[in-house]
Amino acid sequence: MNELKYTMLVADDTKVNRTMISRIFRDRYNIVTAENGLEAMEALRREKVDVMVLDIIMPEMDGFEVIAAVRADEKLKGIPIIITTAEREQSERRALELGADDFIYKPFDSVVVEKRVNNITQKYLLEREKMDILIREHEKRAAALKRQAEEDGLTGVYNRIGFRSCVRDNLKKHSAGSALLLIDVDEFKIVNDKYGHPMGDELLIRLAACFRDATEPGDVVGRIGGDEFAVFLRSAGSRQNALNKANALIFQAARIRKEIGLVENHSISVGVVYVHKPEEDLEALYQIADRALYIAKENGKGCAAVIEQADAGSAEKGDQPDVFQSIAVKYVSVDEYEAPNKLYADIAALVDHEIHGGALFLSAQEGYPIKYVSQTLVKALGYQNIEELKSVCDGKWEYLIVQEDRAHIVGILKRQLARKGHYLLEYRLRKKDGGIFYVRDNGMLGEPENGQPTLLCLCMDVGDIGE
Amino acid sequence: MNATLIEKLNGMDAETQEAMERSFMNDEETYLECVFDFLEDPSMQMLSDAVETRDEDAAARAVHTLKGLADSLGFMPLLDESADMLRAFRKGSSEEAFGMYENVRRVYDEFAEAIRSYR
Repeated sequence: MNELKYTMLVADDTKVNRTMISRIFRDRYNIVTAENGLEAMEALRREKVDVMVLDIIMPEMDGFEVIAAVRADEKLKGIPIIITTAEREQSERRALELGADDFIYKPFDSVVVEKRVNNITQKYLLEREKMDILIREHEKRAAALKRQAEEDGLTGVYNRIGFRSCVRDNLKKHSAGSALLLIDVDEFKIVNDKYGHPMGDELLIRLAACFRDATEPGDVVGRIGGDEFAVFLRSAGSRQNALNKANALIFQAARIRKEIGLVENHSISVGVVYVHKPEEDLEALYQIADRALYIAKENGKGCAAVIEQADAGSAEKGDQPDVFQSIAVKYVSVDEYEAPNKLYADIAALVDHEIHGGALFLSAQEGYPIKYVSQTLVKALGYQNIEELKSVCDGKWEYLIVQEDRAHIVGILKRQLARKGHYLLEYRLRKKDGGIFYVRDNGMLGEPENGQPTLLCLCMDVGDIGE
Repeated sequence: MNATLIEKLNGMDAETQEAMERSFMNDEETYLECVFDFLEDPSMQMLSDAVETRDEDAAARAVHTLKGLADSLGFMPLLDESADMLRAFRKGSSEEAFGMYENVRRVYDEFAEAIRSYR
């Protein structure tokens, strides 16, 4: 059965009249009936009525009152009204003056009723359909213009205006638990200068697509400057999750650069602000994320730094912000570790921010002295200071300690060592008392003990394999 | 059975065929549905109540509705009686109009009885 497109309201206190009108139009309209004027008004507000056939003499609220009420109502006033009246009632004149469109006499002549109602409604419905089409086209054009105004033409993600507008809307509803990531494409000028602008554009397009694919529905991705992107994670949930997401993006960015033929081991730098309590001030969050981005760049680029919203507040009072570092770059540009000094430098950057993590790289080989030691780690291992730790190193161990989510670095180092003809014997970290601090095959640590920070610890014997 | 009811109504001077053609698109089923609805229509009861309380306005409204109903269904004797009563009310002869009530009632009851017997 075909679904009927239009709805007719038949208001008459005599059931026989309602039945007669319904019979005439039931094949072309959804019929809604009312027994008096009040019911008619209720139906008009409840249903989307396209035409009304209205009796004049009715209890509760008569037809004249209904016409006046409909014509005074902004939403209903366009509905065609055809009144039904006995020939000698002489009510048609008043009804027409009040705004009725036409009248039909009782007893109904079905042919006259059909023709008169159709004449009125076809014209009205045609005009309304034209109007609907115009409105839809206007809305489509307005949406297209809005999109154009808010969309970055090159990458298809939001531009600065669109990103800010969308994120502001989000912050009103979803700020707590969200995160804002500011992303800078490392050495983008080199890409343009060395490979040409088409390659630069290709990189930006691929990065934007990657950011969009890597985010969840409801997250917002924007290109807010030439080589600057921003990502709003609506439900990051935790600082660590936000950092993990940033690291994932760094990894993907490095992959993309290789895929499109860029030989330099560059990636992106990411500054993250994690918003753990409601905050609608986007500018304030921008400033924090920008500081985090600055730290990431200062630490050699290709990495992420996260600042929690509350930490930023304490920083304003002169305290050091609680900055979490990522060394994601170390595994995406691992070839750089062919030069040990680069590895030292990266670890140094990590150690500088040792509040919740740190790195220790000790070498027994000549020319590879103990370089950097995290005070946190030294204490966690039970030593008083670095000198004491150094003194117990027996000259054949290398240690690397990185943050808890960097388990994959073990695999990288395995490959590094393999290329040098070394292999990884075991992962362990010796405590001062001779015991093992934490041991995991995959390098991950168990639960922290006594409030000690959770660290991923890797302990390697890098002696020659020999025979 | 329905054909018999229509014959019965025609035998009471109802113009069923004309009514069906004019107002019901020759749809006998809908026409008969409305004929049976006639029994449920409150106009006659409202007229009786109004006559009893001598409420001219209510009586005029009720007989107006009854007249329309009779007209739509082609119940000519009822149409004539109710039209006479309504005309009397409209020219201000309410006592004359009230005096016509029994004729309206009698014709109404004849139609109602006939229809009820085929229900």
